[in-house]
Amino acid sequence: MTTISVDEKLIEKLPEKYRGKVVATGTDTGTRQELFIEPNDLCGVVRTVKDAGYDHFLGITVIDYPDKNIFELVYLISSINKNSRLLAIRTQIPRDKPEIDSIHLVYPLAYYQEIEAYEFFGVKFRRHDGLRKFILEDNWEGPPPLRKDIDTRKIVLELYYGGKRYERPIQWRSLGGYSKVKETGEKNE
Amino acid sequence: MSKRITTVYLGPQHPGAPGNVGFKILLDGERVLDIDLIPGYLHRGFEKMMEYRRWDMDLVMSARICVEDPDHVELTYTHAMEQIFGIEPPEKAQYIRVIVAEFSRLANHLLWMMHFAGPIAARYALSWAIAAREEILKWFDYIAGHRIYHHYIFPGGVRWDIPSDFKEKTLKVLKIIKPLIKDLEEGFFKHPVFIKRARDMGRLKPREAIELGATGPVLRGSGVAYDLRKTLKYDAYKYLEYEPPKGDYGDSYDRAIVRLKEMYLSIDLIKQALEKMPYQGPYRWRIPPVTIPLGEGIGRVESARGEFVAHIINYSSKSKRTQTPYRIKFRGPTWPHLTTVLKHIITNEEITVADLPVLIGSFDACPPDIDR
Repeated sequence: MTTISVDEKLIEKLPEKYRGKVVATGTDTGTRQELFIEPNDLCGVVRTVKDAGYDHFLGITVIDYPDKNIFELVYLISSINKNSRLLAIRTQIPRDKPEIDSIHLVYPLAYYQEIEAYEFFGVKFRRHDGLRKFILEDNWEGPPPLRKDIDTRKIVLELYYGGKRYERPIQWRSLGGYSKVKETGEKNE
Repeated sequence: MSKRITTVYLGPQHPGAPGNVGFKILLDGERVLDIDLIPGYLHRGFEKMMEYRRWDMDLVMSARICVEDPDHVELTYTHAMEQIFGIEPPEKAQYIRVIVAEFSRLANHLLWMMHFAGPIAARYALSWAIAAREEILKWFDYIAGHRIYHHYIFPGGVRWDIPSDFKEKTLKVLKIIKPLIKDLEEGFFKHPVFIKRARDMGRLKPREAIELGATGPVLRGSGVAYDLRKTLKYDAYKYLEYEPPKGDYGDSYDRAIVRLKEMYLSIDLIKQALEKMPYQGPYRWRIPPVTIPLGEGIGRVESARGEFVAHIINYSSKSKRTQTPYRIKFRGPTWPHLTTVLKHIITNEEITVADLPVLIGSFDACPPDIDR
């Protein structure tokens, strides 16, 4: 096990509000630093992080928590010069009004990652001019499919197969985990 | 003469497109003015399907994300899962993983000749490369029982133990493919047509490459020595000695030469691992087969094309172990190469329609890892 430490130079550059909040975590292959921020501070924090040398943007992971009524956004940012250290900036936005600032002016790749978050989760990015269906163009009609309360299989069967499975009426009981999604909105555990 | 700007669609069935992906290009005569990616031809909804399946089924699905380089995708998934389980593989398994991953890189770089030598009209190079790749696929069949998708790397170690004649057989495969790669070097990489087509075309400066998010041979071709094998030192890479190759000018030629050097490097790494690895001892730690603990893991691997990331979150409102992971996100290296990097080069340099397939080929794109 390597020792896990926090990057001092990063903390110096961060706004005062977040200086003590960076946490180092993980194991040997996956050491990372985590920072939890308010959604409105995102642009400012991301700019300071880039100044501190975290120049390699990896992607945005959106996680849907219907039980807490939030979307959690994890921005994964790494560094080319600092031994590929990883920083995960986490923020939470309400599920019924999913809006957050776009950071594509800081990291150009975020432009496309934000389109992906928009089409799969319906998260709206302010000051982003190209939110549209990108991967799902001509593939999917319906609500954003990666949300937890969307039963994609049911929608596909009803939309494209006329409500039939293998040309027979659907028996939801035979679909295993999917029937529970339909009844309770929770996964089969 | 009046200027005519035309819109042309390239792909997904065009031989110059790197498979399963389309481009909308804006043409002024022969020059390409702008390019837009049209993904989604191979979207299978893997991330949603994985949320409904057990973790060992998800491993099998993860390899399907990129056909040409499946072992590295398995490796990212495995690293993320091992962080959630909180285990480290035994030393023998770490070496076997390195050997399997390097063979996968070799097979991928050989198949890449299809995307790169094809548009240059050097079809002979492609058939030589496929002949060398066939030997690697046979080796995979020998070790894992499958040719294309192997499911050999497994959380906790590797799936099966190695056969008793592993070292001799592996060295024999290397002995067969090394002269074939040498042939490729002399017959294709020194050929004046290749040099003329690839030199000074599609230049990417180091600062821009970092800014746009390029990784792997594309970034190293621009002269940035960034290699996760070297920095993260995952698995047995920490025991091996090597220096990842890099280019200096950043054009298509440099990117191709970096890949050629990486083929030789892979052969060298496999030989080193065969010398240093312990042939006795466990090959896998047993882990609970059905449920996974709650937690989070981020696996990052230097795949043949660049940085592959798997982000797995397991969460349950009842705070008990679950059968299925809560959310899995994959980030493939093709994302930046076909979007930001390609657009940047097209808008800053004079690229003609004839050069476009060569330029796209020099990125070694694998569109399925955009679509998933």
